Amino acid sequence: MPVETTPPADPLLSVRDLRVQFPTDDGLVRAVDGLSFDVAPGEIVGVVGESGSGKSVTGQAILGLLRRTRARVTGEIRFDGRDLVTAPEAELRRLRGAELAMVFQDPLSALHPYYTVGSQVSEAYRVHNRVSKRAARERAVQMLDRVGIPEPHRRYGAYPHEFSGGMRQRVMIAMALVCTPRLLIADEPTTALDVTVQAQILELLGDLRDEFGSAVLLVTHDLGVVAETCDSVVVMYAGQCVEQAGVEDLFARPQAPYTWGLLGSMPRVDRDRRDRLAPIGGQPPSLLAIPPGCAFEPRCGYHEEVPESRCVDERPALVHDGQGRAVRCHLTAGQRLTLRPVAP
Amino acid sequence: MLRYLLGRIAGALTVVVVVSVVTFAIFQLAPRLTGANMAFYYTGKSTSEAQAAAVAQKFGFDKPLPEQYWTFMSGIVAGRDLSDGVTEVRCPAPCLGYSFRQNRPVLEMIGEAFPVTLGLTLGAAVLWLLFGVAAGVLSAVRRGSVFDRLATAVALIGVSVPEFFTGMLLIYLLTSGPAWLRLYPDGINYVPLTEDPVGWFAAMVPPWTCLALLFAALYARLTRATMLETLSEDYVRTAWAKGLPPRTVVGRHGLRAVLPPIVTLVGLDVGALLGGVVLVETLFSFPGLGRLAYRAITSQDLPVIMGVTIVGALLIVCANLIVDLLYGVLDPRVRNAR
Ligand SMILES: Nc1ncnc2c1ncn2[C@@H]1O[C@H](COP(=O)(O)OP(=O)(O)OP(=O)(O)O)[C@@H](O)[C@H]1O
Ligand code: SF4
Ligand SMILES: [Mg+2]
Repeated sequence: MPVETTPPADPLLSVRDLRVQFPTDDGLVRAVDGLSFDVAPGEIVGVVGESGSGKSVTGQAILGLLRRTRARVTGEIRFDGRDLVTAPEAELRRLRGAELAMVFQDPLSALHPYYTVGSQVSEAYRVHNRVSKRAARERAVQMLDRVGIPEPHRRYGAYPHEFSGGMRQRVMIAMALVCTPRLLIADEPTTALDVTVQAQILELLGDLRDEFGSAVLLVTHDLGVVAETCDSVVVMYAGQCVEQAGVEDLFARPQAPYTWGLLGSMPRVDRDRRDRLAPIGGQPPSLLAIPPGCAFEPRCGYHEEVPESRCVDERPALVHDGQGRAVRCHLTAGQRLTLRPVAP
Repeated sequence: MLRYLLGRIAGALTVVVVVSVVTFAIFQLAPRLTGANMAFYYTGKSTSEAQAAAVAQKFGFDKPLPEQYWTFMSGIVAGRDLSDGVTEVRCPAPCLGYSFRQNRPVLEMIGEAFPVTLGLTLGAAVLWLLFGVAAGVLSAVRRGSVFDRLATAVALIGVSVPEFFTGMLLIYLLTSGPAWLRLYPDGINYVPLTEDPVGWFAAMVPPWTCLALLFAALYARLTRATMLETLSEDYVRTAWAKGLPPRTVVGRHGLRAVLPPIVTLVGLDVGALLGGVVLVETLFSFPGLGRLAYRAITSQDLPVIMGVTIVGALLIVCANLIVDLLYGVLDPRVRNAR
């Protein structure tokens, strides 16, 4: 189990009230809707949430990749003091790949099918480092070796389709880390992989964090992965952060009803197979019409505990406790303590 | 890769044989349907009955079709002795037939006409690739900009205005238009490249322009659409995420992916045009394959029509083969799959 860390005063990444909206024919899709969270230097932060909760969009917004789309990005993304939302494109380009890197969800489509993996890795190095082709090649081979690709000299010249899913993911990671970024955003790096490979990749991420000191934003919908790998967790729902906490704290003392639901749906070895999974009933709200009150209200079993139907009318604020914990829920601290389902 | 190559070549040969059979069959069938004497298609309407009978006998029109086909095909390999009932001629191998109207072997006529068509097609292809692809890429990158709208409008005009109209307009303007545009006061006349390279080039420019206009418009549309699709691909997003400048993202990562479909189309278009650029050649009176075919059709010179058709088919098949091979080079997935 990783050691719980309390975020220091100066986070590496600080997201405040981030909003990403896509104008579509059906209306405005609010993919990210007032998201706030922090990442400390060298910290591994898990981002969990159901499909469509805006995890990938958040990652892309941080790298400024949505600038070339029709998406509207507002709010604040402070990286090392600079606001990435308003930074000029030239400055972002200097940061991308060098200080901020991203491993995308699907490694097959994220690698160029017509270039060798080696050339794609060394290209990533050469953008930010004035070195000869040979030096970049050596660096790329070294990186491929580091992420566990056998015979890196020979595999340098192979094309993405000649690799297995796990190996492709390693190539993506090598490409992202080749300039030793200070923040790595890994978007579900293990989803499509089998359990053994998954464990290897996660271990690799941890090792690389120790080696390069990079912070990692690990997007996943697998709480098991979070428990094993992360220092702290951001729980997302309908484009909002509903809870952020250190990983031990989150599993031991979850505060938001949505987190309770997520933890309840988590497969556990100590439970009978039949009642292992208790998924949260209902569907997330349409991002075209997020409820004006609490976005989770239609599915929440506790909204009646809050007086004056505030859950329906008033959106709860994300309340920080000053010790790195934040919760978005109208329930009082006392209520959360008594209402929280006890783990069997 | 070798097996892929051999497979493709075998396929191409099969197509050539099929095409030759079909061509042969069509030209056998046509006279039967119109009820005309087949001999007239070889020697002309003024042929006497006796002469026609001699032709029929020499060509073996009474023989079973497979045998006639075989004679025709073996003629390509071994040459043939032919007669129009008056003179005996030797058509040396490879013999694609003999035109008694012009008293020349068909292959010789094709050999003379082909360089004209080749020059026309390749020159125009260079032009339309340069302008079409560049305009398409720019349109895609600056989607919705003034340039994009302008290019779209120009392309629409390019696609919808027929070649003969632009051709005639060009000829009129350049030979008898306003003085400052009258660059070809003596007409646009074809000169062989080997005789006068400068004259050749000067003569080629107008028909190149005429041909390239239409194709550049088509290619600009295709490039724009393919590029837009490519730019939304995940691997292009990866290129942005590396911090590459726009020029590299579009020029290296985007363009590389647009290449295979464009190369395919160029191969097929050039292949088809090489069989004869009928309209442009006729309009400009350039002695290429297209004008040869056009004249042969209007004068019902069957051997020439058959010869040009088979050569045209052969060129298309060759172009297909080259495209297939290039695809193997351009797409590593295809290369490895075989
Ligand atoms: N370009 C776009 N235009 C319109 N809507 C979009 C666009 N990109 C994403 N969305 C919407 O934003 C929402 C969040 O998408 P996102 O990919 O971030 O989800 P996610 O949390 O990563 O889910 P998953 O676990 O399935 O990867 C989705 O409902 C998606 O439909
Ligand atoms: S604010 Fe209300 S509806 Fe939302 S999670 Fe808390 S109790 Fe449930
Ligand atoms: Mg996602």
